[in-house]
Amino acid sequence: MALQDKYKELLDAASTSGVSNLQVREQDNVLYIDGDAPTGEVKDQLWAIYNKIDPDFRAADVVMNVNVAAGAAGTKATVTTDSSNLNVRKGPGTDQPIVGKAAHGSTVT
Amino acid sequence: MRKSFLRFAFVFAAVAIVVLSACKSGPKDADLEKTVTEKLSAASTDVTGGSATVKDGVVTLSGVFKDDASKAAFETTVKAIPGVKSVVNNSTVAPPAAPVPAPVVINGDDALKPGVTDAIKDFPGVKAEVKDSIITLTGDIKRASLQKLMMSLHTLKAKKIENKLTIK
Repeated sequence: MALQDKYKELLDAASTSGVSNLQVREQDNVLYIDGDAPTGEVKDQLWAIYNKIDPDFRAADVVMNVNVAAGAAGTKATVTTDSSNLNVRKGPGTDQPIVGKAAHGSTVT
Repeated sequence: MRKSFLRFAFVFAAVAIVVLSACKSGPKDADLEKTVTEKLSAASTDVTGGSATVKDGVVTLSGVFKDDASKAAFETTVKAIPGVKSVVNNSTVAPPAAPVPAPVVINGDDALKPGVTDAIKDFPGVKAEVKDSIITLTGDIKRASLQKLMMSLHTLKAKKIENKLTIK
């Protein structure tokens, strides 16, 4: 339970910010946090708290698999690649054929 | 003479009432209570804190049963005891135990490797090794990019992620 105490602020934030299917489990001295965040902001906020408790993620005692719940149709997304265009592929994985490209910094729906 | 007959009749009637009522009540409440309590201790795997009181053949049960079925079954058992007129079942059923959390899903090395390769390809200077489902990061990275890299690595269901990156 020591890890849950260490990351209490993070766990509290996850449960109050509307993360669904939230599962918190401690196994072999690693805290596994799984769930679906309602928005990207919530996910970013959780990561900010995580980075605050464990600066630069050095402790290797958390695996936070919190993803943003699949957006409803028509949700806007901004392409935030480092510099290049975003490849839109047929399926998951870079071995999948590219079906289109989205310009860096553009907004797609 | 008539007065003594009346007195005799009164005493006889009184004795008759006592005898009849004793017959009617069958086994005494205390005996019933003992029987029910014995049955409760026999069913100790089903019930915690079980107790029974008996008054005029009416059994009042209390305690916490593990489920509805065992509670109903015990009530049936008690009703079947000779002399029990009715059962007031004040016992409750324990709330279902909290579900045991499912074990954490951890991917094997083969499943992790393609995801790791994908995740680090945009971060030149970062090297990653996957062994025993543990991802170990070496090399160097810009602080601004670290969180983005970590966010994608944490979705791969690794056992843990050792960050040995030099942050520039």
